[in-house]
Amino acid sequence: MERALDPERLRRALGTPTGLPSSEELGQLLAEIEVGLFLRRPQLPEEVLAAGWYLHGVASADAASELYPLDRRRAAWQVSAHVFDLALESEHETLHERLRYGFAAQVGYLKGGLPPNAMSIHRRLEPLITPPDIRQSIDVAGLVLGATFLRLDWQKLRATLEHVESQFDELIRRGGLDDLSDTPYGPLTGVAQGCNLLMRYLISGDRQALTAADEALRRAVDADVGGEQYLDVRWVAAHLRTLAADFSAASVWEVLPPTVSRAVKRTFTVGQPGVSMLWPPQIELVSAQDGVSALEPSVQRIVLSVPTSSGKTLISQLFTLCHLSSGEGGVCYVVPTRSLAREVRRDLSSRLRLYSRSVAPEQSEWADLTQSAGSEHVEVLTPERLAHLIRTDVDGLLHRFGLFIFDEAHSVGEGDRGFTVETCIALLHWLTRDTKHRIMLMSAALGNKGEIRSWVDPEHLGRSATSDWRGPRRLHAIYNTHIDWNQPPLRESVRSKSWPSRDVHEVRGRVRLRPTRTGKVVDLATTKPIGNFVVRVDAQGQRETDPVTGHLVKHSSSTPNYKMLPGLVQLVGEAGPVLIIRSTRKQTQELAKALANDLGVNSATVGLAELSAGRLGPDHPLTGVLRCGVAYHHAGLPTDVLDAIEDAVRDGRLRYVVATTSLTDGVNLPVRTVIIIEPTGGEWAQPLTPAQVINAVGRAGRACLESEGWAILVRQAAPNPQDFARLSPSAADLEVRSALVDEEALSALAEFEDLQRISHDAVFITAGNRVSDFISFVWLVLSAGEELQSVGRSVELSAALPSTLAWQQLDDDTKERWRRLASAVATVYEAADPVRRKRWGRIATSVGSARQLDSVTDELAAAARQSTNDLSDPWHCLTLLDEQDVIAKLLALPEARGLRNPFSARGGASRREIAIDHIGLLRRWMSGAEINEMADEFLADVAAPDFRYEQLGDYLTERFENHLAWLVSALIDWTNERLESQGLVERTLCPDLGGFIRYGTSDSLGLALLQQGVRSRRLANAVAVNARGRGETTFEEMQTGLRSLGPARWAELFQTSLTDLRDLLEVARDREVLLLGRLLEGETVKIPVTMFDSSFSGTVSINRHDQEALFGSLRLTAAGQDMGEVPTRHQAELSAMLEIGLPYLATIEQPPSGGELAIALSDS
Amino acid sequence: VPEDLLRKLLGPQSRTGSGYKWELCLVPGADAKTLSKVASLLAERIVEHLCPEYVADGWRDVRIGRRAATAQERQRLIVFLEPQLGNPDEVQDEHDERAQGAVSEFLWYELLRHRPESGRKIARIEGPGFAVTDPGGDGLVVYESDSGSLTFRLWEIKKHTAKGDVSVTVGGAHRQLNTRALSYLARYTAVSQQLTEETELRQFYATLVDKWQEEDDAVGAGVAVATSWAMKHGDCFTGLPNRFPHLNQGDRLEGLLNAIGDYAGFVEMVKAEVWRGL
Repeated sequence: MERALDPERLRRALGTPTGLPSSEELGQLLAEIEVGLFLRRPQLPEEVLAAGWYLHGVASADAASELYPLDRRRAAWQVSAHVFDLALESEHETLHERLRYGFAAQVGYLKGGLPPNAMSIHRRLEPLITPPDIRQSIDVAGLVLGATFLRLDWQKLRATLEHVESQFDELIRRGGLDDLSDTPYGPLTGVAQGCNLLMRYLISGDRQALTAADEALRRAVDADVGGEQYLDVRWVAAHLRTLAADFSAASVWEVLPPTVSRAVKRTFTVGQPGVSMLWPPQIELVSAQDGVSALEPSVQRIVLSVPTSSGKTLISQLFTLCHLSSGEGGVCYVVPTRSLAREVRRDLSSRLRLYSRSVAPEQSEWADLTQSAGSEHVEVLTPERLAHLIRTDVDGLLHRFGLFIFDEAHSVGEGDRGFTVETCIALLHWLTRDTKHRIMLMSAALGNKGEIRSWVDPEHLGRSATSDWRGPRRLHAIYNTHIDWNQPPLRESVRSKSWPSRDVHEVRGRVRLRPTRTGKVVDLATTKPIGNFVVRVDAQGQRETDPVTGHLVKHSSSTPNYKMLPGLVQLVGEAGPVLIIRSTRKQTQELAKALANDLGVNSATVGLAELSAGRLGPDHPLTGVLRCGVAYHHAGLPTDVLDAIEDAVRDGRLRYVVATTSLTDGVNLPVRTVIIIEPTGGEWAQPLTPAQVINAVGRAGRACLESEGWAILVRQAAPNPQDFARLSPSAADLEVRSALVDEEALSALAEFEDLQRISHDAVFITAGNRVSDFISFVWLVLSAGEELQSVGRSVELSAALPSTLAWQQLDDDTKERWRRLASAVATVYEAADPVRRKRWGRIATSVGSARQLDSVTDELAAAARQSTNDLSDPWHCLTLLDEQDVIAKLLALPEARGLRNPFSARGGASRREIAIDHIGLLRRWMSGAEINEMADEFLADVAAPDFRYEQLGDYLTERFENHLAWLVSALIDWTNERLESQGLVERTLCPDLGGFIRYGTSDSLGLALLQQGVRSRRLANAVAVNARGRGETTFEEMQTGLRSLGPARWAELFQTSLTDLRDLLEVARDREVLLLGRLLEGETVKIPVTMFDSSFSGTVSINRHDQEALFGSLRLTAAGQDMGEVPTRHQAELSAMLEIGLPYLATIEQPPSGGELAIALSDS
Repeated sequence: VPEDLLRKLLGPQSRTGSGYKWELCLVPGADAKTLSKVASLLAERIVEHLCPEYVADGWRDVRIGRRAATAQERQRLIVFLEPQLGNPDEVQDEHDERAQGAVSEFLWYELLRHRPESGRKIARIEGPGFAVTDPGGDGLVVYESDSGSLTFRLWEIKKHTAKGDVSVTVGGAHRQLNTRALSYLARYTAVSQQLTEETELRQFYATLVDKWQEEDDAVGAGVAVATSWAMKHGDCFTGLPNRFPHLNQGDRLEGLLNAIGDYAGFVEMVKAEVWRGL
């Protein structure tokens, strides 16, 4: 697993040289260094460093291929990189020496096929490096240039090059020289030119630049000038020269098929993050096989199984863009959670913008296709929304999208939701078997890849790729608490007749580290006790034992487990951010508090604490722990607060996050160390599934940020050699099984079969289990069959069933039982009303619930006919629903059974339920009330503020945002259909009510803002109120109004946070101009600007008005003076251009009507 | 001016120790005439080595008083020489370590490349390129024997201006050479693979680290120290064979001690010679 410490690799790399450690000894020494680093005690024996240089020499020996075969050299690169990576920690070394180690590590990683680690090395060097003074040391300047180049971050390289080149210019000027090529600076100028030209090649694909780079670097190596020694500069030049060929071979220019346009390729090289070279699994996947790349539209089924930190996100972006460029329809990108959807949408959006394409804003799960604006090219959605689209408009869906990407495809095997994903894939696969549509499944946890492939690609005509490649090394550790029972306890007297004394045993922490999978485990114990284990002792001196097991009973005065962890967490936290996974929300909060107590106030997280205080109140526990640089994170907290926590971890402000698996499953948030605390039982404690372990452990080690990460399992049990296996689930553990094949499904099937014998209505009665899901699926197939007949497609049940994964995995007998059930459903379907049965197929409830909803629709339509109110108004509409008791009926449907119990004054065993006014709460929610206000208003009986909020948060998410919003929307849809068919258009109900319930607003402008990606409900409502105040009634009018206000006024009017500002700039962005895409196409784009000095014309630079603010007005500056301002509508795109660091030429031209900015990209 | 004039002026004395050989160049502080000649000649060599011909020619014209230097010429020379000798227009460090190290390397370079060799000739010598941030300088000489076989000598080049015994510096050099050899050779391997198209030479370079580690016959090591005449030591290289026991046969260990006047003062003389007339 850990490549460099793989004994076989070490043996192959090292050979048997005299005077160096043997491969076994080196492996042991490296493991000891890793342990030293874990304990923050870096040490590097000289012989390890010597071995590193020896291996670097062997690996560099191009001309000795017989003596050092390719595989030995590759192993030598990898092991030497690992050695130098560790050597970087030697703080007593000079900067010059550490730069050598760093550069040697970068080269080793790149040549050894681990490019992200090379980038991470520069990140670690960065704090040590000051801008190089070339007159002080040519070698150091060369090393800095080389190391910065290998970071492949062009903004940083440009800054370093500018610094060095300005010194070249000064020397040239002083010496009256043409250039510095024949001075001692010659090799350095060669390296600088080489870096510049290589960068140009990688960005633009200009092969002449590649050739010129080679020539410049060759001159530097030859150093045919005075200072011919300057070994380090020449060493850098020599490696860059050979790496140039590797970069070229791995660049998008070479790897992507020639059919992919330059514009698409350039989107990757200039976007954020810039993609200069693809990583090995990416290359393997997209490289042509039999002359065809998987990116080509002709490859219609792709199954991809790669671990996290292996560049999966980029792979999906490659497929998305290449597909869009093929003109074969849009891309439908399916992710398991809304939070992940938001993240994917954000990343994709910034990439697509460079190609003048866009991602549809977030849609309600039940929104129809016409509601997602037709011009958008990609929609990122949850399985529930996809299922809705399949049910309601499968033809439109297939017409609109040509590629369906299923991210985290292992979710097929995850219970009830898994069946939704399975049926979506099955139906799409089956419906597109003879069309050009493409389906791609991606996952890091597919144990049965072969079976999954056979499911969607039975003839193996598509492409399947599997890789265990990962950038950062991952090291494993197990933490247990340990009591030395041989040590006599401290006996304390207490006031108790029955238990007059207590034995106090010291508890120590025990860490077992395994820096290598096959190597020995290092066992460490804390030097001081970390807690106490207390046992009561009776008057006879007998210690309390469990009558059943005979084990000692741990008294409640013992140190709780979570209080024994902060020491470990802080130790690993010194190396980088730590994510701690606990199984319940309460546990996340407990541990966060314990950590915060030890840490004290942290200035870096003041802003976050303020945000939390504003959203949840100053007394909320999250606000308190955030002040100390600690967060907890679970689905019961507001989305914008969770987003802010995630951002703070990414940008390094926040070092400690305690989370439930909602974070590791839902968000791509890598950290240095992941600590999984194994549950010991208790409220809702569930062990992590193998896929959840893979997801959690996979977050350890941030690709491109660091070269290794630690995964630590905390177990409340005696150490066991098998513990390490818990962190590495096997393929068998990760097998994806259909929801129809497990015990739960089979027992539900048996129950149904029993029910069928006694009830003719079994199909309608069954609800809330796998059988009802299956019935619903069958019903969908039958109703879709009817619908599709009208457009010339056919759907037959007998053919649709075998397209499920279940049919691959069930034995023949069980298949036959499910088939019989399907036939029974078909019989019921045939007997049902032809109009109603199709409608029931359009909603993803049980068929019974659909039938109930249909009858509620009848009542509602009748009531609407009678009503005298304007029902298009959301409040009147809500009143009507209340009068008809609709909300209560919807909350009584079997679909609501899985929801958490409503409110309780206290948690845990002493739960005492309290009643609240649901409709009143819904009205406050829709009126835009803040969550803490509602919590105070409706849940005053709940003493603990966090519990008050948590319950309300869950309630809002589960009942309003999901359950009610969805069902109300469907109900209104059906009711309006009915009213319209009766010619009663004026009586139709407010069509946006479902959206209002989901987003917590009653204003269509606020709703539009939230659907356009504004994350804060507070902000959306405030902006909507402001817009209404100005008389704006449409989204376009509000957009124009926002543009005319500008960011400075937004801050005043709406108290915008950074996130708010970013969101509003996106709303205000002019989507028609397609500025960035056109610039990248080489066009000069002209935009009107506001000039402060109307007489000015000439070249300007674009700068932020406030350099401190990441977002804010962009000013046009000439000679240090602000000459004008970029209009708000273009600020998002021009900000992105500045962020990317694209070199540009901007000129103010003076047409008669006012200032105009002409902007074009200049040569990189 | 004969190429090997400097070597002749310094007149190195060949000595043999147990398992090594060494050369000693002595210029007493009182021998102002020789010191001046050596400084002058070394200045010439340094300028020739570091500057292209047209710059060196102009420098010579100015130096012999043929004409005055233009401000531009002066600045140009500074550009070429500053990395080794510093900038005369900037405040001079009393203890100019950079120039002292650079002069030490140039002495080694001049003496080595003009040393009469029997049965072999220099195939490549990596010349001076003193890195001020490094704790010493390294040098590499590749020899080709008359029979065509290749050998190399890796040198550690030091200056000693401290008060203590020179053997302390030499001991440090031994140690450094031992610990840094692989670092130098590994980096040089990468560079050397692109220096020549000649297969045999490339293959030789490709195996430098293995040859060093395997104590191959082709391997040798040397330590060169420049110091003051008063610091001269009878034989400061006795520690070499202990540090490199496997190389103590067949002249594979070498020393070079340059004890020249007051070394720090001598370096200042060299600098004065370089900047004379400018």
